[in-house]
Amino acid sequence: MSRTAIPGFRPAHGVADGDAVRREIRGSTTILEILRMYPDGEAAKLMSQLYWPCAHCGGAVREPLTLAAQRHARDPRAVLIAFRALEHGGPTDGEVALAAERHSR
Amino acid sequence: MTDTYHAVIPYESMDPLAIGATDDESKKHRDTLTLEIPSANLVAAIYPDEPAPVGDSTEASRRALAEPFDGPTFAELLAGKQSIAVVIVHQFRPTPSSKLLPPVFDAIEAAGISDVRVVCANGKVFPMSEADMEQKIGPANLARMEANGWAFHQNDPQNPDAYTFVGVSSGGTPVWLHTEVASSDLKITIGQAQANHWGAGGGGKLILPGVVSDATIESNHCAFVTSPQTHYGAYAGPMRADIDEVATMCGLDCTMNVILDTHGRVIDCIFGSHPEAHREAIRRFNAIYAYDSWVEEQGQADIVICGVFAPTDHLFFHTGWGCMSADLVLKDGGTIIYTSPSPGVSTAIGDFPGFALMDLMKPYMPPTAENYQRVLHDIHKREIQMWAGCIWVPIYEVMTRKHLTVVTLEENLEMAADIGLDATTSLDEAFAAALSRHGANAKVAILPYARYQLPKNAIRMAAAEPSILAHASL
Repeated sequence: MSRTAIPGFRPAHGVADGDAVRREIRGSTTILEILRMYPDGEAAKLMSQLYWPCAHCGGAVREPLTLAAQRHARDPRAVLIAFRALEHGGPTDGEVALAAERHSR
Repeated sequence: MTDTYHAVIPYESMDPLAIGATDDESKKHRDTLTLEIPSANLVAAIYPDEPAPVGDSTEASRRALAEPFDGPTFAELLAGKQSIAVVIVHQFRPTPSSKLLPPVFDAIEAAGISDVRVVCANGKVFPMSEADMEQKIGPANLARMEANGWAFHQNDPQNPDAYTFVGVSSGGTPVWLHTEVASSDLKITIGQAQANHWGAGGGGKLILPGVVSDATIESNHCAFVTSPQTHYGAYAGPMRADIDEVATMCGLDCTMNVILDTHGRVIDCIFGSHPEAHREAIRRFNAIYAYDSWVEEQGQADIVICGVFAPTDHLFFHTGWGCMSADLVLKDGGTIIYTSPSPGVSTAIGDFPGFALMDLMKPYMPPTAENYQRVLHDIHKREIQMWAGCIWVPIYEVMTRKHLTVVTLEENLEMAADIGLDATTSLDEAFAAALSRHGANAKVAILPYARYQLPKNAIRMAAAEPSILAHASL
């Protein structure tokens, strides 16, 4: 039962059972949405492989994937490719390596 | 036959929500590991003398509000106020908020204040789910908030619209405070007081990092976490001092501080003005858990064995804080054996393994002085998120000087190996390996509750202490 009568009451957005889960990952897809797409932990594991703490971060609720990539000094395109590859059982080691590579800012 | 000491090491890991929400001991799994240590090697086994729990936490809260350590009673503070912010801890802290809140709510209702909000001090930790909230706040308290129309908010660190600029601390931290807190006439925090590597937990820490913006959290943590003056017991150290100054700037009026024993039970509850009540809570905590160091008489240990006990967490990331405490009594080159089951955690967005977040140190492995410089560079470049780095970076720094062996569950070994951490399921094996490294005459110490324990000579309660000034003048 949701306590909607409490003003401001907002659990972690998008985690309620009935919330719709998108399947397509875009640059604007938030970290939280990606985590919800892969409840068995594949996305969280990929974040771990990239050395991102995002799966545990309060910012995940709002952070789009491309902004997360920039925040962690990674190539947004390579990051997007790696996360999209999850849908087909990926990414490959090479895709992970490209996404994990740090770029000077 | 060699005379041996039979050591019993706590090896517990429980859901912090369960610790805070239930009195049913049958729901709490407790375990221990045992080890036979040659008595000739043992320099110390520190088991604290804990007072009895208060029994009824709710009544302890009520009494504390009526009998403040410092300043007016809570009822007196409420008189004439139009609005109040009650700041509580998040789901990964064991403070029994659901039991402490009823007397707070009683007083607010009695004062006739209707503009009330409860704010969760998430800092940059993931927001609570609805199930988390039901356990943390409790169904009865939530129903009461619902009936009164009182609001509930969680910290939202990357939403610039959610914050009000307060100013810049003397340590240079720019402060953006959650507007729901900033706009309240009276501000109270309810949390757990304990000594820790960052000086202390509880009190003003529910303001920073609890209810401030991403920029404020990262600025404070980047500036002060790596300071040598930030250490166990350093209440007057730069990190905790900045936190308390920021809390004062933010208008924190009063704090309620519980001390939890090693079983997670409330043994004391101290309410009063900020920062005095929290400081007193830390003094009382230290009176129980700080120990007389053996180092001056017997020298630093070669091996320290650390246990993990109930009021911690499911992740080594949270149980492992005692590495920094053990560091204070262990010689460089020595070994920390840390027993931590770390079963991992299930959340509304998935399950996380027991060594989650420790993987953030992997790009800097092996832990060396040279690689630590890379860490420092990346903190400077803001490439390390210090809301998480505030924990793994100090552990890593200890590992540059001391060997860490984690005794843990089988399921964690693969991830530990991938990170580059030395881990095993066998305490006997870990101890035998440490003895072979340090020789038959190795000095061994046991800190069964390492995350709580600290040597008394590490305590720095006042900034003007000569030892700090002497260090600063070097």
